Amino acid sequence: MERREINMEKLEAQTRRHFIKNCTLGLGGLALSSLISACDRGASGNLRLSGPGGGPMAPKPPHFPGKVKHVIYIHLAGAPSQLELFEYKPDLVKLNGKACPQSLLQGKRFAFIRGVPKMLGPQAEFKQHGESGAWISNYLPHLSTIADELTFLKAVHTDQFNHAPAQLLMHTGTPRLGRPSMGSWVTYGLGSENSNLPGYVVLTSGGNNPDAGKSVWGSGFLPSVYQGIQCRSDGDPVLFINNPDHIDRENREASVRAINEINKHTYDEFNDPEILTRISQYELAFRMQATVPEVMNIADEPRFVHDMYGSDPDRSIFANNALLARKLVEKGVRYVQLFDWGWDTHGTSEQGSIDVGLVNKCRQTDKAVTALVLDLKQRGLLDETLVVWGGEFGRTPMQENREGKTNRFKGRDHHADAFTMWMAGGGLKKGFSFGETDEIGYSGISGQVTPYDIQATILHLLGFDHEQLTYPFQGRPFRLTDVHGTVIKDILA
Amino acid sequence: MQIINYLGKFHPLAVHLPIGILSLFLLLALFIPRAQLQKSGALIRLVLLISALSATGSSVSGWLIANSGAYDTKAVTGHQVMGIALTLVNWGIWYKTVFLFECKIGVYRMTLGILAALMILTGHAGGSLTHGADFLTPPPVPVWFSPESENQRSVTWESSAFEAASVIFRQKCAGCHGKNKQKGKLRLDAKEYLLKGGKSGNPIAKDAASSLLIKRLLLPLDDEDHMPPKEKKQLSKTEIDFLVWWIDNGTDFENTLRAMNLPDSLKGILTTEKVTPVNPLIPERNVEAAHPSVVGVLNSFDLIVLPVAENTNHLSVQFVNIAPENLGKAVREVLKIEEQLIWLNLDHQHLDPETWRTVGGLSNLRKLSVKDSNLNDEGMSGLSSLSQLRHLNLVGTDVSLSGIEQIGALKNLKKLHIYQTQIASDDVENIRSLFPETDIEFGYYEVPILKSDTTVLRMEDR
Amino acid sequence: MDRFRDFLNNLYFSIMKKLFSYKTLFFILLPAFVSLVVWNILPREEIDYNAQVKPIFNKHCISCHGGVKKSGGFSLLFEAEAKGNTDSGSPAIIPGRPGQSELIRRLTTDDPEERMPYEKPALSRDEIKILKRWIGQGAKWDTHWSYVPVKKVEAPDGFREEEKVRQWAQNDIDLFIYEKLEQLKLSPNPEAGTDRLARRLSFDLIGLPVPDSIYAGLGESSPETLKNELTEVLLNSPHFGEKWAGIWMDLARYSDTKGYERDDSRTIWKYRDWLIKAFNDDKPYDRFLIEQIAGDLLTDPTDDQRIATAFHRNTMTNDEGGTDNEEFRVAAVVDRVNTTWEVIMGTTFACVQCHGHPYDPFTHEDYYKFLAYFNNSRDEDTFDDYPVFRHFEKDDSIKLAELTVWLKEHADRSKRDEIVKFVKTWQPSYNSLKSDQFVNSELADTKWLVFRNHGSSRLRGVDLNGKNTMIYRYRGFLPGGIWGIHLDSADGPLLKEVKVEDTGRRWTYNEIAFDEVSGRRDLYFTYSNPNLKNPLSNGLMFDWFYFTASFPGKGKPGRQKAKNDYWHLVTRHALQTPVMIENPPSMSRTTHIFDRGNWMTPGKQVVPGMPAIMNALPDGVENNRLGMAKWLASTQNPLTARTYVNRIWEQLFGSGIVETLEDFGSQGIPPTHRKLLDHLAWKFMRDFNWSTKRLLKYIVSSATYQQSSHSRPEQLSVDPQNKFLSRGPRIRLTAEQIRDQALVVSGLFNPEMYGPGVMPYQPEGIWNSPYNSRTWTRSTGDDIYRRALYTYWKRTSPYPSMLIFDAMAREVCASRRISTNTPLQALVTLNDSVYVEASLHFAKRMAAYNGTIEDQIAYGYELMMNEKISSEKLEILMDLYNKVAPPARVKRVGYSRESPEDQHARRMAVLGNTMFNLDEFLMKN
Repeated sequence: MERREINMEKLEAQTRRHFIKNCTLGLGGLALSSLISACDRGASGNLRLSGPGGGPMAPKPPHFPGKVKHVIYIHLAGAPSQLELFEYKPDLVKLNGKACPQSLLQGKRFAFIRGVPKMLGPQAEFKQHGESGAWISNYLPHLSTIADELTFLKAVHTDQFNHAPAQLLMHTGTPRLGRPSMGSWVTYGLGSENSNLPGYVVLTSGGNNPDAGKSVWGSGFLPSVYQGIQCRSDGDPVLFINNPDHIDRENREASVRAINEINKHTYDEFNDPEILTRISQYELAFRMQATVPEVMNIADEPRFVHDMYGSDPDRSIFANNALLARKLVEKGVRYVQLFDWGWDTHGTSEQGSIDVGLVNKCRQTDKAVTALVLDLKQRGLLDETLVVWGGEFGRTPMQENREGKTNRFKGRDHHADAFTMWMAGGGLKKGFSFGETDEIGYSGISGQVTPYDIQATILHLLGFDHEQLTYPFQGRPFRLTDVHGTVIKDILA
Repeated sequence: MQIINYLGKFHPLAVHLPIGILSLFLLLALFIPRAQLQKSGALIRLVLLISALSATGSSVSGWLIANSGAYDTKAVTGHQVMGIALTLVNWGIWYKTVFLFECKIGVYRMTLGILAALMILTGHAGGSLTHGADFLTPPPVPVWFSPESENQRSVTWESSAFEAASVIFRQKCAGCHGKNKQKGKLRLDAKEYLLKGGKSGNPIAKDAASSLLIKRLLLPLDDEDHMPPKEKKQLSKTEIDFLVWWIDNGTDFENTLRAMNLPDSLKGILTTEKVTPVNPLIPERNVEAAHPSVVGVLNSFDLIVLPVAENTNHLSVQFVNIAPENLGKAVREVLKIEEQLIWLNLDHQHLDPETWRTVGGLSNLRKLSVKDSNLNDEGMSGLSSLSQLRHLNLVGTDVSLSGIEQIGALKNLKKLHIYQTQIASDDVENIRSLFPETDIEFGYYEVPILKSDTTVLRMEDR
Repeated sequence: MDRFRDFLNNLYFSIMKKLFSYKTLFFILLPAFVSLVVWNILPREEIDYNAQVKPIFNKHCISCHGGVKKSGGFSLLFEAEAKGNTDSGSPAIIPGRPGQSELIRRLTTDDPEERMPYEKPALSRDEIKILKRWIGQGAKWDTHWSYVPVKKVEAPDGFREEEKVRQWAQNDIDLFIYEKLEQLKLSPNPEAGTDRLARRLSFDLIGLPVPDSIYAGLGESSPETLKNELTEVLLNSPHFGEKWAGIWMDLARYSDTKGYERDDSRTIWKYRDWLIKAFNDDKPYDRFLIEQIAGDLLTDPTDDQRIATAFHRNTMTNDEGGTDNEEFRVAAVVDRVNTTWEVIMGTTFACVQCHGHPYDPFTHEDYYKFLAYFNNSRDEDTFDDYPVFRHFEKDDSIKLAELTVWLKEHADRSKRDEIVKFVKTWQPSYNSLKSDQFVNSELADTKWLVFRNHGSSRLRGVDLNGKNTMIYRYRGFLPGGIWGIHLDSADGPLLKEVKVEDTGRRWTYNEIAFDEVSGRRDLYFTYSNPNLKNPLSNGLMFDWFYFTASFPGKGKPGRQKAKNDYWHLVTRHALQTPVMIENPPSMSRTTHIFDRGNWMTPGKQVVPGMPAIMNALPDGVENNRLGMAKWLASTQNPLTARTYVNRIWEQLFGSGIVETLEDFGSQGIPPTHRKLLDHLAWKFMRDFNWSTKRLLKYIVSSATYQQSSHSRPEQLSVDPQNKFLSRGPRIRLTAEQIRDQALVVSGLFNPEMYGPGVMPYQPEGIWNSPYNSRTWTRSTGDDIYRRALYTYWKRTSPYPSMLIFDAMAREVCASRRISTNTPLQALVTLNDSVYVEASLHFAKRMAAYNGTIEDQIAYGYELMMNEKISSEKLEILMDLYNKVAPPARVKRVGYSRESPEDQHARRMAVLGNTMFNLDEFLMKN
């Protein structure tokens, strides 16, 4: 069946309703002018430049030349304690065990702290690393060796102190459910180059989904083609990718060919452009059945790669996801989202404490994260990839006293006013730290940034003006950054 | 009462009658000598009677519409007074036509002059009421005629302190305190107006602290009198500091900045060309668009041909989805967009030597990635002509030291990735000497295996 | 000089002579003068504010001069503000005087400081001309079309008699459609074939392919009567209710779980059963709304009317440890307001939470005046979703009936109602999570009041008038506890002291009497227990407290049995459905404006009320939630009928007359056939008396609906999305329909109705919510073949194959599903076990048909498509049948040993899987 015989132009035809239509709504329904520039995300300028299959995932140019083409976002669900990893506070050592001053509690709301908690000194030893002299604790021995590759944001703050709303705010721009996640916005804006692979892949580890569930990588009101595809290390890497037992690869090829031939007859009868789109989607599905398992299979990676990442094909651990993230980006996947659950160290159990539980979580991830950055660098991918590392909020300098009783183990409560994230990759000042917190790491004193600013900066590095990347819904153009967000210019190279 | 008000609406229509007739009378008086005119005195009296009657009618309707409140009284009174005066003079002349023809020629001409003047003034005032005051103002002088628009003038060490200050005034204040508008009667775009000051006196006093200009600048943003107004562009910190420094040093108009040795904390005031960080991977000058049909052909090979951004014609090409059998043809086709093509990705592609040489023809290429492709030393020679190349990724190819030596001519190279190639670690030294300006990425990083990576900590061994 | 003057005079006189000769006067001046007058008097084409002026304001001006920002004190949203004085002291628009209007001057001036739109491209010349002529014609302001109450609209009968039209049109709808097609120079399609139309009708009305039973019963009748009979049978089929309930569940954001982090399960499926019955009984739409919005406030509400109010209890509750319950209660109330406006009135009211509506005439205060209707509900984000309706079965319901009868005789009316309400809903009770001033006590996991030794806490503002009994639900962790209840302060007078025993970790109930006290008092609870050694461990936990008078009918016969029945029913573990219940006066809340939408900064207090632009509250109706429900369902409400009719239209034709179902405001896409929409809305309210079935019958019997869905090139170029319906609707089936169709055609379909959610096959590892050990345990027996409607729905991990076919996660209400066409959908129908198993059964069904292989394939195709297979398609399938090679596994075993039957079965299996993926099978043609 000669593909060119079916006129590919028709494939560009609109699917039902508003999704990527030509947006000439007529004067009557014209929405804000910025909407128009966003709406023609479907057709890229006068040249019909999109590759085969056209349609929603066809690659599109950004507003201005981007510094990076891929994003790997590593989210530590539960919020790692910045006071044990990056924030060296000698004063906190002195205050260890003393009652928390009233001024810090005035008018503040905490998830579990009640009455007057005690201050808790850092449990790790800190040293300065690399020429940039970045403070990193002995919980992260491997990351310390690449301190000069990292760009730290030391005074990030948010207004949500519960896991689910805070994760939603960090990834979808609002603490409530129902909005598209950052990966959906990026693939809606840029499409994806490798048409045989999904554009937005999600990998979870640590035993549980993140607290906000699938909505953290959902497509919200954007068409469902932009939702994150969860790749799983056990069973089908992508849901329903493998053929049933009684149909092998050749039978599947024959059946897909028969389906499309019959659909061709249906097209001749109905002349409905939708049929042509479906024909190409079935072909794509057939190709994906080969390409996805191949890229997801890490069993035949050479020994030295497993040694570098600490990955192991027989277990489903974070290191495998880090290795997969590099392989996916190398094959052209646009946005890879890693979630690792289990960082919620309140001190209610041994594995939930900052002197034992946090150490183990660091041991599970430190080596793989460092290996990922170095591997991207040596393969020439780091220049066009942005790696983001962080949690949904920080942890309090005070020890948590849930229900008024100090917890059995050492732990810290949720703290929205100041925490640390870092980034690495194209377009950033390397070995640089932006923003400072007060002497006990309670609140930021300079360079404070919000999750909206971080989203705006990520979109900026991809080549987008975050105020122009919009989608019309309920009568107004919606944005990832909603009505907030300014690009953090100080960390841009 | 309502209908009477309605009659007022006819005032603009009714007004034109007296104007028409009076101007007829004036024209007649102009062209025909008085003596001859006197012969047809009855006709002239009739003309004057009609004009007087219509003038009275229009005055009445004018009075009605004035009371309907649609206009602010201040502008209306002038028009109203002149209108009534015109009507009275008209009646006067009608009543005293005989006197008009008898009296001295000077008086005759003088009454006609008064009549004409009154008519024109009333007409003008009425017109500006209905169509707005600037209805007749001529279109502004086109920009290229006006003298070199001042606010672009650059400030250097040699320009005077006042010139530097006036550049600030023109950029941030002329909007409301400039040529065509003087809020608070204050004008700042020239020396004499600056000194004259405005409604509340001279903006500049003996020292900055007591100058009204500086006080207004330093008021909190949401204060009512803060200048410039909240929604306009604000002065930068260096600009305010410069004004303070300038006034504290006696608001000097003559000496140059160098003479007054401008403190370097204020150097920000000097115009430096805004150096936008140049992205080495994008050529400065734009090119015109590639021909859509050429791009159409490339697309038919499943190549991804994309502009690097929305409003530029520079293109990038990605080969990831191409079918192997089309490789040769596709690369030759790509040559057709040689001028626009700046980024090319040939990862995992296996080209024959002939095709590798055609890749060398892409003169404008700035970023080339041939990761895990079958490029070898022999193919490298083809690439030596890529003079504009900045990034070259050779990861996973069979290129060795000799291959690298063949591209020694590429002086613009910024980044060279040679991980997993045939290049040995001790070759790296002389590659670095070959490319002193280039960041050589040899890779082979090690992440040591620590015991702690695989052991789980328990409370008891803490 | 004189010669020159003479020359002038002669010239002057000759011109004057020629000018005033009669000929020139007649032929030149007069016509010139007449045409001038006519040109002036000719009525310029009246400017339509909505179609021409409002879009210009929306596009260029309203972002700074609208509901959100009123820079310069000038807003174009409301007429009064637009024509009123601005900050400059004089009005910007002076009707009738464009020259004087500051608006026009600001648009045309060249001073960049003053030219509007400020620092944005100027308006185009003809936009300014429109505004000038509009002001010149008096700046007539009329309300947006969708806020004007519906008036009767007759069908256009200009061409009713034309031969072509008389042949084609079946009812008035077609005339409206034909009028638009005429303008676009398009001609409608002929009618679709009866078989294909039957399949389309069947999917639209009951969401299933044409069941054999229905089709057989019709026998041979003329196509005309066949269509009517089929429509009647489908409308009366019990499956009708299931299909339309499914659509309403999207709007009601129905889910079997509570949402957010823990996303624990919630039993609310009784509401789904109510929906199915309501649609099957064709409950009039106005009653349908009133019962869902305020069923509990009706006089003597029946159980069903209470269950109906679960519509608004589909909002999410957050059980995550450490969350502020008041914050998520407020979020639920806000969600109810937004959903009511979007679902029932197609208006984006959600914008108004933070500021005035940018485009439509709703102020910031309007939002909170409407929120006040919902702000007095009893729910407070509790763990068990109180208030709930408790269902009693078999002998419990007998006990309840007996108790009610006894009470009728021995207690006054209000006491009886109070007791029956308490038995059914445990309301009005005080939730323990409302306690404060904790000493050695706390809210365990922010949900239940819990005491340690020597603990105390306060319960504020308890209404004790006429109360002498308290019933409470609690858990004692160890014996020997003393629980003291003090009045007004911790060491205040002791109301009652109670010994607390160990209840063995189970929730238990207890009733205590105390001597009556008057007024609304603060109760201070104290607790101490000598056996409690560790000061940190808890001794006593509470859930809720209920204050009442003692059981009535002292000394009356049968009182003891009645009291026992009463206590049995109160303490009985019963199935619970969250419902709406209004706060009694003693617990009523005040409603405040949230400054910039943030609940932490309450502003001015407001009283319940309607936005000014809408119709007023119907007279003789209380100003409460029930009154508001009646206002919603009144014929005077301009939006309710239009929104519903538009939604029905979208279900049948794929896209509504107003494409943006959720936005009828000025930013929504204008309707393609406005007159038709009003015509349908009027008929729906008046002639059909809000009956959904009669409305559906009216639309599906129109020729527009019955057109064939073939597209001709000129239709594709003029109207690619078929918005003007020059051809029948051809849209992809919904996620539920695709699954149900596969089950019906393969013969696996289990038509059982009603009941709790079932769990068909779902790949491993989908459910993974933290702190929630619940897993997806596959249902047994043929429950797994139930309709997709009954699939258990978890909000944060919805059923994957339906999500891929554009089903919404129902975290928030979704007015319409944006359909897409992706490779992942192909993978679902190719490889999902549900579809693979269905295609295997379908293959067996074909193989069992006695006839040649071609006959079997043709039989299979007819089962699928309800029509004969074309020869080319049959040939392609036969070609595939022959080409199917045995899979590797069989090759190893030895190809020859496979019996012909096995080989035939295997090949048919591949064929079955292929046929289930045909485009026409997934589409409604």
